[in-house]
Amino acid sequence: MTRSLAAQAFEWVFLGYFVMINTGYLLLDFTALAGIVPHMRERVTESFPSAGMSLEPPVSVLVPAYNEEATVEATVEALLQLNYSEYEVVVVSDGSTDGTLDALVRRFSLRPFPEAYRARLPSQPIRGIYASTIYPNLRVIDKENGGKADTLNAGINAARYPLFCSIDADSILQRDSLRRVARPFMEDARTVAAGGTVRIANGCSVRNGFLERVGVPRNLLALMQIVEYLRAFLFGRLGWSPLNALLIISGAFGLFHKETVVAAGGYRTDTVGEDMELVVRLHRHLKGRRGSYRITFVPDPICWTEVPETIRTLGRQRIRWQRGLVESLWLNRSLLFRGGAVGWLSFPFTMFFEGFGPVVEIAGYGFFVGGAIAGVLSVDAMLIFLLAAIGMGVLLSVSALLLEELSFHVYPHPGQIGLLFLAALVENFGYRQLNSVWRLVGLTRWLFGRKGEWGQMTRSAAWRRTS
Amino acid sequence: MTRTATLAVALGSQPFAVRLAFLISLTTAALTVAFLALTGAARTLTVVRQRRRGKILELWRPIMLGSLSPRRELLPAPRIRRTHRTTVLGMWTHLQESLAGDAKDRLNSLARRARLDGVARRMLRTPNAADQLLAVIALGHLGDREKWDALADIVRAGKPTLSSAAARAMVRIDAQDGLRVVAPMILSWTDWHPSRIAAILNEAGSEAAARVVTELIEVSPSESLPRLIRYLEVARNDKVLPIVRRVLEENDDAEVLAAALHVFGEFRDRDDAPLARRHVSHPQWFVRLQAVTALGKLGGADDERPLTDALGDREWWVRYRAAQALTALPSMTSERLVELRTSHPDRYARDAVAQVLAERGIA
Repeated sequence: MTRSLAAQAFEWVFLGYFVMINTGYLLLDFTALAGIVPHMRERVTESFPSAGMSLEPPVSVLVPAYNEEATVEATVEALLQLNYSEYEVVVVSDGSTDGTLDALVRRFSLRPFPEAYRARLPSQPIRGIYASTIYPNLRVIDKENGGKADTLNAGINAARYPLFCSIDADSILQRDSLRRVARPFMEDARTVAAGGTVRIANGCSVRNGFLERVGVPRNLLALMQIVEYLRAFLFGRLGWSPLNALLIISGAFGLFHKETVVAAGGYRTDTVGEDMELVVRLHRHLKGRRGSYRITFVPDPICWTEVPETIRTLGRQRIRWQRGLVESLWLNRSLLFRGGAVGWLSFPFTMFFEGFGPVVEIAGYGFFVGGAIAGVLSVDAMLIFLLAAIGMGVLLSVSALLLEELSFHVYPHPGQIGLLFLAALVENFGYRQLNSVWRLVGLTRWLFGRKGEWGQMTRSAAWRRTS
Repeated sequence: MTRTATLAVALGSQPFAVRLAFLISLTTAALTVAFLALTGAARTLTVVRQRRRGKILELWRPIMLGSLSPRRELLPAPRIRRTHRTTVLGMWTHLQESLAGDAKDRLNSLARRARLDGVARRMLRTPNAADQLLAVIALGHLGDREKWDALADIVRAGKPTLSSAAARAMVRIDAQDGLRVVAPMILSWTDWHPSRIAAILNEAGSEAAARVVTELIEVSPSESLPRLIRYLEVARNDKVLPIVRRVLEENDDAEVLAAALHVFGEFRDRDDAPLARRHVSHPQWFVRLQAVTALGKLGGADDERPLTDALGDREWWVRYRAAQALTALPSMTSERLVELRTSHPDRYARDAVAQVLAERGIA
């Protein structure tokens, strides 16, 4: 059989792509490990006052809430019990149409408060500001609906402290989460932002807003997402942190220097990836100012969140994430090759492999399978290529489990790691490919300008308990 | 033909890219198996370490807690195995961090009987940063001078966590001599969070901290003055005030002025009120901010007018602090504050007063 030059070229392109992306992630994993191992050793002394700080910087915890009537009370109650010396909680209701505000007013004895509101960042009009008569560090802002970014901007306007922490209304923190994420600011005065590691709460038990016991979910989709989070969202991101090249801090839990964010313009309201876009813009803004700065990542598992357990909800989420990613990169494209590891490494890596990678991945799978059917490629060759692609994916997933075991070993029972290993195998036979399709959809929607939207997250929260 | 030979022949007929892909598959499969084995080994090691740690805690917890009691005779201390030393020292240090007074001395006595002091000294040389940190903290609690030079070297290395812990340890062992080593570093650690320096000065005590910071102020370049002046607050010693006043006579930098006003406000010496009054209209907003804040603590009835004017400042924080300062003036009454809230001609001033009154629960 004569193989065309084009077919040979495609073989090399796709093989090269799969090798490069997986090698890149493996390198990131081991860069992350180089940082985690000493971090784990230093944890022994973290509780010692002599090793740490006596004065923690005060923090404003911003909680954007839209129709969170079912969970907002428990969330706020938990936030009011954090172990931190000085902080305030600012809940911003984004024009909720359910009983979110009423639930807060009742539970926390809120009264209207004549706040001298500073509108430094534009946002939708404020309808009212309330202060708790029983918790002096709790305020609630009610505003017209404007989306999450708009809501966070309103929260920043009302924040009284030099640092603000953005969390999701359904984020589950630990009592020392704020202390851990604030630590980089105390260790290095150049720090302007720090991300908290987000873990998956499905299968865990939560009591009164705090994680009580770690578990693994029975839902296969959620199980595979645990592996995915470890691979791509934990160690993948952690590898960029020592290079000061981190491009994403999850909206579920991040701590920022308020004045730096205000100077950079706050959150953009015309993107669905406002969390990533802010971080990329901070890099661009701070490089333009030619000062030294740090954007870092705290490796400890300090924030837990529920992930989708249905294909439909997961698909919507991943389409939105991909759109947000390419929007963030496009809006800040001047950062490309601008300097430093962020301009020369993480930005091009993210743009090529994560932004436009789905095109290559889908085309690759299509070529191998279609080529075999059309006779351009032998069936043996098709199987070998697929084996290589899937094998590299499995290796990456297993390496993430190894790193987890060497660092936090959050899952204490051997059976849990066994389940996760099975998920690491299974996810490469359909789940990752489906993700590539969703990412391609997200990319296409961005290219053709279809308006992105959040959609509704179907939450079960069945594992939350109150005492 | 064997199966392997068949496979080799089949592969040999494939293009190079296919053969490479096959090699990649084999490599990744082998690595996957290896990583799985490593994961299993890591888990086993974790379980073994946890069990060992449990046994160590079971042995040492009653000994350490028992040693705190003044009525108990000195308990013998078991010999510490090499593999246990980090855990035992960590336990001891953790307990020591929470104690005060005689209990600290009794726990130190146990450490010496168990030769934990020797363990800590040896751990200072380890390349493991976390063990070094533990050793530094332990030696500080023990008041051990034997490794003074080694501690000083760690201080000078400039690593934020380790060096500041070593600085605190040295100051804990001997405040005067320790500060002599640490003082030059305070000037050069410009990217350290101020709370690290403050923690070291706190450890040294009020008199020693005041002395070393005033000595540094005498010799430091002007760009370091704002930072150093703020450290004087840690000293909590009003003997520093003349030095700050003298610095202001020689230096009209806005940041120095702001730092000085902040300190004057904290120390509340009314002799400094005129200085605060003079700068309520300073061109720089952060100086105005400190001036109005200080006036709230130092001022009197004569200051109601300038503070009321400051309610109309173009900076939110100056307006807010001016409102707070007004509520703190002894001469100000609730009725007059409420009247300000409704009658001040500036809308933003009325907002600031309304917020502060609500915070204070006034009307």
